[in-house]
Amino acid sequence: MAKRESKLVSKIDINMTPMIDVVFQLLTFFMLTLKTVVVEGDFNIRMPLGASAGAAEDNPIPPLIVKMTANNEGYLTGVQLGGKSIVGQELLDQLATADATFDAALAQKDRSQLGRARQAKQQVAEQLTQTLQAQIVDAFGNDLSQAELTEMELDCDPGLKYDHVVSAITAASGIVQGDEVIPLIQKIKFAPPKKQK
Amino acid sequence: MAKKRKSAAATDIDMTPMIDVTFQLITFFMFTLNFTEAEQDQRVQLPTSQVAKPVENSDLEPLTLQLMNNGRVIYNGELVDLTALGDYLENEKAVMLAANKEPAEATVVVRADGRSRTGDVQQIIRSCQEKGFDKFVLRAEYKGP
Repeated sequence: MAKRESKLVSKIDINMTPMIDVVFQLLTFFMLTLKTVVVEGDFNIRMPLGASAGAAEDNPIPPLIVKMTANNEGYLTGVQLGGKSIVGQELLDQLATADATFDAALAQKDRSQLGRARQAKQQVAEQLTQTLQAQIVDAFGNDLSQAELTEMELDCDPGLKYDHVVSAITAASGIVQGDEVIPLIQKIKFAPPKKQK
Repeated sequence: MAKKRKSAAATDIDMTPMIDVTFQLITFFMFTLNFTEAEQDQRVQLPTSQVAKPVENSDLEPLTLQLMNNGRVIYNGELVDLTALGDYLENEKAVMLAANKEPAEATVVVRADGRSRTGDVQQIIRSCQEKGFDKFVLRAEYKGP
C-alpha cells in the first residue's frame, strides 16, 4: 500500500502536515494565554516609622486634613476639609446608588449590567474627584506653589470603601490638563487610626 | 507563462503564505506573553485613577500585598488572614536581613480592591510598619484622561 502511494506521487515533497499541526497548536496556546494587561500606576504615600511623632517635623505649612466619614455599609457620608463639609448630599447619594448598583450587579454576575454599573460608578467617582479638587485648589488660595510642600492627612472611617480614598488621593495628587498632569500635593499619609469604639 | 504555472501547481495548495502568516502570529503572541501576570490577580479589582504615576521598577523586588474585598490578603499567591499577616512579614524581614538588607529599603506595594475597607488597608500598613517596612505605594488602575 505504502509502496504504491509513493510511486504515484511523482514530486518529492516534504510532508508539511505535522509541522502545521504543531504550529497551530503553538498558535492556539499563545492566543489563549494572551492576557490584556491593564496599565497600573502608583501613589506614593509617606508613612514613616513612628508616624505618631510626625508632629515633630519642622514643616511650617500646616497639613491639609481631609476627613472622610462612612456609614455602616462603607458608603461615603461626608468629606470635610479643615472641618468644613465640602461634598453635597446629592453627590453622596449618587455615590451610594452607584456603589449599590455595582455591588448588586457583581453579586448577580450579570455581565451586561456590570459593565454599565462600573461605568456609572467611575463617572460619579470622577465627579467626586473634581469636587474635591476644586476645594483643595481653593484651600491654597490658587497659590499652587505651596501645594508641593504641603502634607495631606487622610482621616478615614475604617469601614469606608477604599475606592473613595483613591478618589481623594487622585484629587489631591494632581490636576489633569489635556495630556499633562500638574502635580499638587505629593506627601500623603493616613491619620493614625482611631481607637475602636 | 500562466500555463506553465498551472501545471507546476499540481493538485496541492501552496502552503507557504499561510505558514508565513502563522509564524508571524506566533511571534506576535509570544512576545506579548508576559510573565509578570502573576502579580495581577483577577480577584482584586483595583480602583481607577487618572493621575497614578507609572510603576517604577527598582532593582529590589517589591513586596506585593493584595487585599481582597473580603478582607483577606493574597501574599505570594497564598491566602492569608489580615491578623496572621504579621508572621509572614516576620519571615520576609528575616529573609531580607539574611541578605544584608534592611526592611526599610524594600517597597511595599499595596494592591487593594476598591470595595475593601479602608481600615483594612491601614491595618496592612500598620503591620508592615511594625516589622520595619516604611516605603509604601498604593496601586491603582491607570485610566487615561
